[in-house]
Amino acid sequence: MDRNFRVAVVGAGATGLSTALCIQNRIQNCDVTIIAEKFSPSTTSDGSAGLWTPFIVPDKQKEIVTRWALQTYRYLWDMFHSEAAYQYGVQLISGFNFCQEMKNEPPWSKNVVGFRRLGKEELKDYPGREFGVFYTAFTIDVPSLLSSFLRKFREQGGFVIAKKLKSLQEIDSSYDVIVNCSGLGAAELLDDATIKPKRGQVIRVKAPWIKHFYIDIDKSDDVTYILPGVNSVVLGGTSQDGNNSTEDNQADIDGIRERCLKLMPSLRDSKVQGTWAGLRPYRETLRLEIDKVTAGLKAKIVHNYGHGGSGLTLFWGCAEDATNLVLDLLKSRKARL
Amino acid sequence: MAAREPSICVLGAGVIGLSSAVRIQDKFPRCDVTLLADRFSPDTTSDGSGGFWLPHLVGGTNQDSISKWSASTLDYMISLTKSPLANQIGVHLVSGYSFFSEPQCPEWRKLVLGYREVTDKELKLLLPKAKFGVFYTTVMINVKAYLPWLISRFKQKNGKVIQSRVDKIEDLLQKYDIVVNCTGIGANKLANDSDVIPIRGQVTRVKAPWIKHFMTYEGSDEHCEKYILPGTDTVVLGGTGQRGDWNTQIDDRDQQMIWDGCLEMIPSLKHAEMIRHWAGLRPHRSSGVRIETEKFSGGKMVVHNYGHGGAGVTLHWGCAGQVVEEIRAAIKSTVSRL
Repeated sequence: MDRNFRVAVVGAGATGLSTALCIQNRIQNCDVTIIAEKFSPSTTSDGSAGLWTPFIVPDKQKEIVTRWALQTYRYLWDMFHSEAAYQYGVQLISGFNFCQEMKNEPPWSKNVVGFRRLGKEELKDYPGREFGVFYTAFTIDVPSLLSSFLRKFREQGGFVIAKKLKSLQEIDSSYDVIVNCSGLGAAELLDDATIKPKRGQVIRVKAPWIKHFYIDIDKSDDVTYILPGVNSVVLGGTSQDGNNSTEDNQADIDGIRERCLKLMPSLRDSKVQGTWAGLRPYRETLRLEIDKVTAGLKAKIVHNYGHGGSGLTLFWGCAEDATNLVLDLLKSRKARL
Repeated sequence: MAAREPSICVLGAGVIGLSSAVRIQDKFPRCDVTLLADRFSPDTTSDGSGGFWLPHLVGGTNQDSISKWSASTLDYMISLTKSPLANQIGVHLVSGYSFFSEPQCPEWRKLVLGYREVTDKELKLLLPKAKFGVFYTTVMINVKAYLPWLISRFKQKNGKVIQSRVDKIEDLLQKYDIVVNCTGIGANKLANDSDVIPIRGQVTRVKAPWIKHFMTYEGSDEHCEKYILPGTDTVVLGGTGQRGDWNTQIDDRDQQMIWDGCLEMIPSLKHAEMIRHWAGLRPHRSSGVRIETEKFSGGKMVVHNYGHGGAGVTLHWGCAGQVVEEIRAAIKSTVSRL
């Protein structure tokens, strides 16, 4: 049988599209199809602030998550310094992260530009905060990223099917490998009870004079953040376990506004552009592996889901690793033939 | 002679004149202060500038004064960034890179926030032609918002504003006791100071909201300097440094050179939307900023505050403070002689 290898990628958020593109770029003689219910601008990724910051990292996967994060950082750095930065919505931005006291610098800090602890004098400007770091990272305009990814994918011969899948059985016979990037959708698609929504409410405002990001985790675990994107500033946030409502919550909005105004009084003058609530696909560990459990399928399955609030921090590193796994499957298939 | 409060006229409504007027009002609340100028925002030299805090092209001003005035200005600007009115006032914090063709140890490194030298890796990745680079956080002013804010502050405290052209500063001494000369490039004629010579600067303003850092490059001569400064709504691309050039018309070759130089630093600027071009005359004085009291008969005086070159925005608040000191000292000595 001398036909092209057929790969389906389920999901068209940041994880799905980057994975599909990565496979296209690195694997010869391979037909890639994206199958998804939702596309930009309606994916979970679209509503996010697109911040790169690996702060909350599951302890069990510290090393690998650090690697994925730094691979993504390098990808974003190169993208920002190319002509394509604007089209892909990649924005270099420095800022402040007031966090709990850290004994040691996080492992990723050595490879992040300008990472340093804030001095006592600097912290005086932010009363109540005893510790913080400053570093240079990225915020991504996700709709721009996703539309550029999709455009490139199509230009390179990729297929796109808009369809909501109820199970992988539906597409099993048409593909050699299925890469599952369905995020929260994996709960239904795979009957995976370990993936749960972590609700995040945000407000988008126009405040173009703000050129830094600010992240503040206070003692009550309320996260406050001010994340300037390309055309708007995202104010947040909440992190509500098991809350699967994408309706705006006024109490959340009021709380966010109050906390952000305290951190940055000039936000008083900012015009609100919109509000949004999204569901982070949270899982205790990020599942990036070849499926050795699911029975009754002819196609091989590679999983790449459960990125929680770190989708835009890890996407490229995960896409590369998922592609490696697909390559492994291709090699072993060739060996069998 | 009945002792009365001196009447003060501030001549010039750029950033130097307006800040002088406001600080004089604050310190001498019982004096009548009048602001007189032929041009107001948005038509002053200050309005076209990038509004970037950095001591630059200050001629022979002595280092202690530069440090004192620029530090005072930076502190004040930083405090304004924390105000709820920061956007109305037109100030914001900005971080970024300054690259040079040779190693530097600038005095201002102690004044800006978070100053650090870049690593070799950063240098190679960002601007391989540079030999040295630094990263720091400073303040940018949206001058077109800042000047109107200063004027409204001035008017709120009963300051009078007159739009008029003046041919001789001394003529004003018939009406006012103290004239503060903040005429910038105009001082060449008005103060008969041939040491005030323009250093022409051309800039292009573009819409490029994905640029959140500044980037500057200083080559071997001031004409090589290129910069990308993210303002509130537009990004300022510059620049030129043509000594003795009085031309405020846009030069196409300068425009191309600025464009090429900035695109070399940030290639994605290729997709930036062009908004407008501008060329202005930095009021440079080779012997440095002149803050000096010139006494006339009848206890009258002219306090000079001009020659700020490329550092008007950077020094303005500190210089205005210095002017206040000059006036206070002069009044004291006048009073003590009565």
